[in-house]
Amino acid sequence: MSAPVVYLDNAATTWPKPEPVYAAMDAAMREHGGNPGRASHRLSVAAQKLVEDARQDVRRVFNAPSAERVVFTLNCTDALCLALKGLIKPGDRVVTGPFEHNSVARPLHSLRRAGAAVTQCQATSGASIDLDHFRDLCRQGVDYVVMSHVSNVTGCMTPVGEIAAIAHERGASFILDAAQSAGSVEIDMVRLGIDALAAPGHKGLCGPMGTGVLVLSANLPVAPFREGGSGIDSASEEHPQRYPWRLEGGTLNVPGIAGLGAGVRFIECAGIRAVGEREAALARALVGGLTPIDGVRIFGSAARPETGVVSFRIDGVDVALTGAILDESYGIAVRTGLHCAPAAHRAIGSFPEGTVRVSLGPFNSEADVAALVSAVRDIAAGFGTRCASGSNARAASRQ
Amino acid sequence: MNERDTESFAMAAANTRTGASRYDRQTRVKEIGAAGQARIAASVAVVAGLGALGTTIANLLARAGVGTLRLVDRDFVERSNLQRQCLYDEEDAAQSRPKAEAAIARLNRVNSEIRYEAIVDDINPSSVERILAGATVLVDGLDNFHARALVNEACVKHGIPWVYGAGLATYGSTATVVPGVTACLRCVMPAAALEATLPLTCETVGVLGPVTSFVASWQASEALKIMVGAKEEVCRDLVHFELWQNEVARLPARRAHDCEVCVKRQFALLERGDRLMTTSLCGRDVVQVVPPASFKLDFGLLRDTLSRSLKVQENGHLVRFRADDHDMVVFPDGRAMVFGTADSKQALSLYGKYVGG
Repeated sequence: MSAPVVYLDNAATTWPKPEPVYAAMDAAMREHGGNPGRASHRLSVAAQKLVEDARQDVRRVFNAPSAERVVFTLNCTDALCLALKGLIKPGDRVVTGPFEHNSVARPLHSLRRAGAAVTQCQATSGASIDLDHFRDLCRQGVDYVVMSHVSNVTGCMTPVGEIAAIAHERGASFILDAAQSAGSVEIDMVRLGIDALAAPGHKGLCGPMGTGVLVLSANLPVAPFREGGSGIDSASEEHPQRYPWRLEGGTLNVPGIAGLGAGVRFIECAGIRAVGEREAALARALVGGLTPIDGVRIFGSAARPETGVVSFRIDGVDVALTGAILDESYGIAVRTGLHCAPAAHRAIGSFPEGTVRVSLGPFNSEADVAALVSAVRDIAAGFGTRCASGSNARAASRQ
Repeated sequence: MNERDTESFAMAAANTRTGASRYDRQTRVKEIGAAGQARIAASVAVVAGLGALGTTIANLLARAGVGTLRLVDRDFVERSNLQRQCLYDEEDAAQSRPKAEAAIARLNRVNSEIRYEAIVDDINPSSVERILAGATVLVDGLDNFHARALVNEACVKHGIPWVYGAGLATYGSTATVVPGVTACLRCVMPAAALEATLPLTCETVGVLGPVTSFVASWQASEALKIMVGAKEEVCRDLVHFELWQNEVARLPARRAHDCEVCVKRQFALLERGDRLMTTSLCGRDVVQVVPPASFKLDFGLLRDTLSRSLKVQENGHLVRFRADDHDMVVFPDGRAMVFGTADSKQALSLYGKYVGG
């Protein structure tokens, strides 16, 4: 199989990475190879500096209250699990959104079984959050609001400021899943009123896979589940209560964190607003190209995408097969199926088959969009023959 | 009386006391005898693959009184198996029973005095050594050369003899490998030939029941020689039968002085991990099978072969067909999508049957 030449799966992970990310990771391993915070020798100190610099980078990019409350995690799921399972107790009331990824939905499901009262806000017919319903739910009492910023399926954006304000009026804390927005949408934690933010390092922030962050405001006491080596208070039997050690037991992924820091600096330099607007503009061009094609149906905010994510389907061609043909015959990488977000697909009417999802990143161009539109036109037209199409595929997928 | 006469006399006397033994006709054969029978009863035979060859082999070995019979197949009984796979019946097909378990249920009614082990699993680099553990002999009822090459490496590595066999359409072939003594499979077949099987399978070009019975019987006989300890009696040739053209050919199988497997003891297939990668697509009943870059698929041959028995759609970019109630799409580089299942083992099985593997 030849390597994909057109990468349109940036919502899964951005690729390629900016050159400084590769360089930072290489240097972290070759030149700063000590264990951070564990010794006084120069390699350990150098590694610690890399980590603390990256912590400052992440604090700055989200305008978080303090760098100590920037916790490095394995990924966004890890950050969400830390926050949700470290905060929500049996009896707590939680309101969540209609488009949640399994990384929110599954931990909340197990917390519900453990005794938390979790309710889900409805979507409007336009695939956005029904704010009236959300207000009603909060009025009935709420301790935590947990919501994604941008749907990984439709690209639709949650009005974070309004949601946070409603949550705070009711005395609730607001936890934001910024998996798809961090690095593509400007996020000011203080101004927007975000109490906890979970983000992957490897998507919009352009860092490597295996990195993520949980960023907390000052007053959220997250209980750690991971206890052990911290490099501080070693004589104590208790794991340190101070942040970030409280939630960072064990040796950190220093090369990854160094790469994440470089990614954040790159994206700041490029301008988050500029990158996000460019991705949305490409998405609009894509929608403009796909809409006239017979048999193509676009899901979500079809008319004017706000972000770089577009979901579609070709009538009569199974989505998995569409993805495989795009890869095999056109060298275009997209993601198909349910995207780990069945609720979002239910909300937009694409469950259970799912969609073909195109997600644009900082390195995509108009030519990439044109290549995809042309390929989709071919496939929708029967791909030479009607071979690739037919109701069989859909029937088979339901067996 | 010489030694053999004494043995025969003792056996006859024993039979008089207890009625004819289950194995009387076999122990009367001078090449077996009571001592040979005891060795058979102390043996562990693995039958890898329980199709036409494997069921015939297992049937013969169970009746012959092999101490432990380990039966291995990842597949489930289907109606099209009944024409030649002698241990299954219509009920097994209706219930889609695992072949290994259906075979044992049947053989238990034939010989309940031996021990059976069912392994419902794929033969792959992580399973093959476990499947072989403690075996006296492995008898090949597999349907593809890649798995045979893997078995060959594992058997050579652990010094376990094995008997190769294959049958297709009207022809069949067999060879016996005794590590360190005879040629191994790799001595006589180049790596490229073992890398992948062409889409010429029982599913695509068919097979005559007598062909597989014939090959399987030869294999079982070789396995008995190994179990009784008569390793010097095994056939050292590659034997080829063409039952429609009435041809039998014996090709001398010589040990290659530089064989990577049995001389250099390099076990590349065992060490490199699973060859065919599968991915289940998120939330869907579709499994994607991705062969390695070295995989060579003759796309035209695949299309032509499948077209003989199935309705095939093809447009140069892909071949699409429906078989065993599943839609399958195959791309020119061998990548395939199997619809209607989320089970990677089932997808691999369908891939093996229709694409090769």
